[in-house]
Amino acid sequence: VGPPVLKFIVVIDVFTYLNAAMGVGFLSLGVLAAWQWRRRGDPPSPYIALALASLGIIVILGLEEDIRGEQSEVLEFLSLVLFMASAYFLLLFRHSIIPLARVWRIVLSAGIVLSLVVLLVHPLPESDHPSYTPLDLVVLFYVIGVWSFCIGEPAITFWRVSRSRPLVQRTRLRALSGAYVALILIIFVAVFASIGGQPTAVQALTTISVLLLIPVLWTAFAPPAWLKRAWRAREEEFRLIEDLAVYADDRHEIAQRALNRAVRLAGADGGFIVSSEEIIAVEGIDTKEAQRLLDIRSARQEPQRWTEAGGQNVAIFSLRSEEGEEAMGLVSGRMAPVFGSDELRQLSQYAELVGVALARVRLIEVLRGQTESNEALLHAISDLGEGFVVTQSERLEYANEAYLRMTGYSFEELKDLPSLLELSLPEEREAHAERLRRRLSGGPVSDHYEAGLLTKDGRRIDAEVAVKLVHTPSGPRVISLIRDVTERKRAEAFRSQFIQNAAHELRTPTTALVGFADLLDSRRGELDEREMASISDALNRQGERLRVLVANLLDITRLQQGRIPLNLEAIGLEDVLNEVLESNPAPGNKSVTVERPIDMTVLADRLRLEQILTNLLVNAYRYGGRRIAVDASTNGDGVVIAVSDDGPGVPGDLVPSLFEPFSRGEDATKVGGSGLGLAIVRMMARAQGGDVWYDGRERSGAKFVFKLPRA
Amino acid sequence: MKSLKILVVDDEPDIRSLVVMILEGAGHTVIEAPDGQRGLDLLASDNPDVVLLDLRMPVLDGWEFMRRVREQGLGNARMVGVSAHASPDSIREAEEAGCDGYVSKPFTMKELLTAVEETGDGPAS
Repeated sequence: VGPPVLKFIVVIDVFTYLNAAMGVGFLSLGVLAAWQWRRRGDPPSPYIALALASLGIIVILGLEEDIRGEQSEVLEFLSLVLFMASAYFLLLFRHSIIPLARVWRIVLSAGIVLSLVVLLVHPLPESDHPSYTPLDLVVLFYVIGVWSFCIGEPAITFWRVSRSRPLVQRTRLRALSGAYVALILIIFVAVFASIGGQPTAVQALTTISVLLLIPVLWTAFAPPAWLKRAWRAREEEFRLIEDLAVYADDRHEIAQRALNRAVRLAGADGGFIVSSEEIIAVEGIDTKEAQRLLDIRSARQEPQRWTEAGGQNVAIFSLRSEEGEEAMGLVSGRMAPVFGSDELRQLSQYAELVGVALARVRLIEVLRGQTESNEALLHAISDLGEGFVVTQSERLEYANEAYLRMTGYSFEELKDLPSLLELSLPEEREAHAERLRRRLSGGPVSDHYEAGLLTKDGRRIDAEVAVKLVHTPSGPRVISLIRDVTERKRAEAFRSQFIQNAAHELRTPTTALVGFADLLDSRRGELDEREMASISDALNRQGERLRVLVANLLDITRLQQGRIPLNLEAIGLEDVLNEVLESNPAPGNKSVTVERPIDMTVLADRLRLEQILTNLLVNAYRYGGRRIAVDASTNGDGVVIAVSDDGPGVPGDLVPSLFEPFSRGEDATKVGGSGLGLAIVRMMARAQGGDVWYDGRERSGAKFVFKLPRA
Repeated sequence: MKSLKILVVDDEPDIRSLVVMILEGAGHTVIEAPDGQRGLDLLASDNPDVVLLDLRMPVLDGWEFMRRVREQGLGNARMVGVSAHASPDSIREAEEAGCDGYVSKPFTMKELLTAVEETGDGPAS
C-alpha cells in the first residue's frame, strides 16, 4: 500500500471499480479539455488538460494496489510527482488568467520541488493505519499544505475578482473557483476516508461523492457550448431592448449600443465599430487603440482572431455592408473565456445584424437628406409665390404657405373640405372633376391649364396650374403647382385696353388728316376761301393732337419701363412755379392765385416737376372753374402741393380711374387732350419718390394734390 | 343718283366738318348733331334719309342711339355706323344693333360716299 497521501484516491479495495470510474472520469476531462483547446481554441489552455490528466493517471496507477495489494515504488513515486505536478499545472492555469506575481511563482514552484525532494528523502510509512512520527506528520502537512495552497489561492482569487466583472465573465470565474474548491474537497474527503479505518459504507459514500464532483470540474474546466450559452442567457434577455435600440436612427447611437451589447455578450473587455473608415464607436479602449488593431488586421491577411503579446485576445468581425469597410472588433482580457468557435459564430451573426442596422440608418439618413432638400425646394417654391398642393383624389393632403396666402384659407380649413374643388369656379367644377377622373384612370389629360379660384373672401383668382400624378406607397396623389396670374392677366388686359384706346385716339386725327387730304386732292380748285381756312385749321389741330398723343404715348411707355432718366436735385418750389406760370399763363377768363409762403425746397427732377405742374395747371384751365389756387405745405418728410379750382370738380364715378390712361370726362373732347396726362403725372410723381392724388373732400371744385420728398 | 338728306352724329367737330364737306360736295343735304341726344331730336324733327352715326361717343353713344330709335319707333331713316373698329365682328355687331351700312375710320372720301349712297339707295328698313 502506497503512502497515505495517495490513499485519498485509492480508497478501498472493494471499490476498485468505482476508483476505475473516477480515474477514467479525470482522464476523460483532461482529454476533453485538450480537445477543446485544440479544436475550438478555447483559452482554458493546456494546463487544465494536463492537471486533470495527471489526476486521472494517479487514480489509474492506484488501481494496481487495489488489484495486487501493493504498489511498486517506481509507480508510487511517479504518482507523487504527478500529484504535485497537477498542483503546479493548476497554478499555471490560474497564472494564465490572472497573472501571479513573479516572486510568488518562484516561491510556490520551489515549494513543490522541495516537497518532492522531502518525500524522496523521507518516504512516509506505507500502512493503512500508520502510526506517524512527528516528522512524518510535518512532512505530511507540508506536502498537503503546498498542494492546498496551489489550489486554494486560485479558488479565492477567482471568486474575489469575479465580483467586479461583467455577467458572463463573473459566471465563468465563479465556475472556475467552484471547480478548484471541488478539487480541494476531493483531496480532503479522500484523506479523511483513508485515515483511521472508516467503515465501508463511509468509504463508499466518499468515493461516490468524489465521482459526483467530477461534473462540476467538467463544467468549469471544459464548458460545453450549451453551458456557455446558458451563461450568456441573461445577457440575451437584453436582446429585445437592444433590438429596439437598433431602431434608433442615429448611426453613432446604434453602433455604440450594438457594441456595448456585443462586449457584454462575449464577456469582452472592450471593442470598437468602424464604418466607412471612421471609428464610430469604442468601448473599453480608445480610438487610437482601435485604429492600431485595424492596422494589424489589414497588415495580416484577414485573420479574424489573434492574441496580442500582452495576452489579450482580439477578434474582428465584418459587418455585412455594401459601403466600404465596416467591422466590429472585440478585445478580451485574460479572464474572458471568449472567442471559442461557438462564440465567434454567434458574434459573426450578431455583427451581420449590426451591419443591417447600420445600413438601415444610412438609408434613413439618405431619405432624411432627400426630405430636407425637398422641403427646401418647397420653401423656395413658396418664396417664389407659387402654390404647391398635394391631393388624394379631391381631398387636400398638403398645401404650402404660398397657396394658403393665395386662397386666404388656413391649412386646417382646407384639409377639412370634402373636396378641394369647392375652391374652383362653379362653372369650371365639372370640368375639373372630369379631368381628375381621367387623370386617376390614366387617360389622356392635359398637365397644364388655366383655372379660376375662389378665395376665402370671395375674390376670384386667375391661376395657371401644372399637375402631375405620382404613385406613392399609399396610393396615387396629384401634385399641383399653382401660379397666381391674376395680376399678370390684369396687366395683359390693361395693356390690350391701352393699345385699343391708343389706337382709337389715333383714329380720329388720322381720319381727319386722311379725309381732308383726300378732299383737298379731289376737290382742288372747287373749295372756297372759307372752306380752305376751315380745312387748314382742322389739319393744324389734328396734327398737333397727333403730336401730343404720340409724345405722351412715348412718355408713358418709357415711364412704365423705368427708362426715364431722373436727375434728382434740391429745387426751390417757388422758382419752378413761376417759370411754369410764365410759359403757361392763365387764359383770359381765369386767374391763378399762389398762396404764399411757397419757399420750400423739394428733391425732384426739374424737368419732370415742371411737367407735373404744367399738366395740373393746364387741366385746371381746361376743366376747372375761374379761380385757380396753388399752395404748398410741409408734411413729415415731404412737401405737399395742391392745385385747386372752384369749378364743378371731378364727377364721383370718374375719381377711381382718374389716373388711369385714357380715362376722361365726357366733355373732354371739347377741350382736347390725349387722356394720358394724369397717368403720366402719377407715374412721374411716383418715379421721383412722391405721389399724386385727387382730394375729393372739397365740397366744390377740384383739388389735385401731389407730394414730393423734401430736400 | 338722288340727293339724300343725311344726319351726321359725331362728337368730333373736325370729323363732322370733314364729313359735311364730303357729303355736301357730293350734292347731299347734311344736318349735324354733336351727340346722340341732339341726334335723336333732329331725327324726329327733320326726318333724314340716312343717319351717319359715330358709334363711340360720350353722353349718348351710337348703340344707345339705335336702341332708342327702335324703342321709340323714330322714323325709317337708314343707319350707317362709323367706328374705329374694322373687324368683321364689330361690323356684324353693328348690323345686329340696327346698322344698314358700316364705315370704319380712317376712311377715304370714296369709302364714305359709297357706304352712305348704297345704304340710301336700299329699301327703307
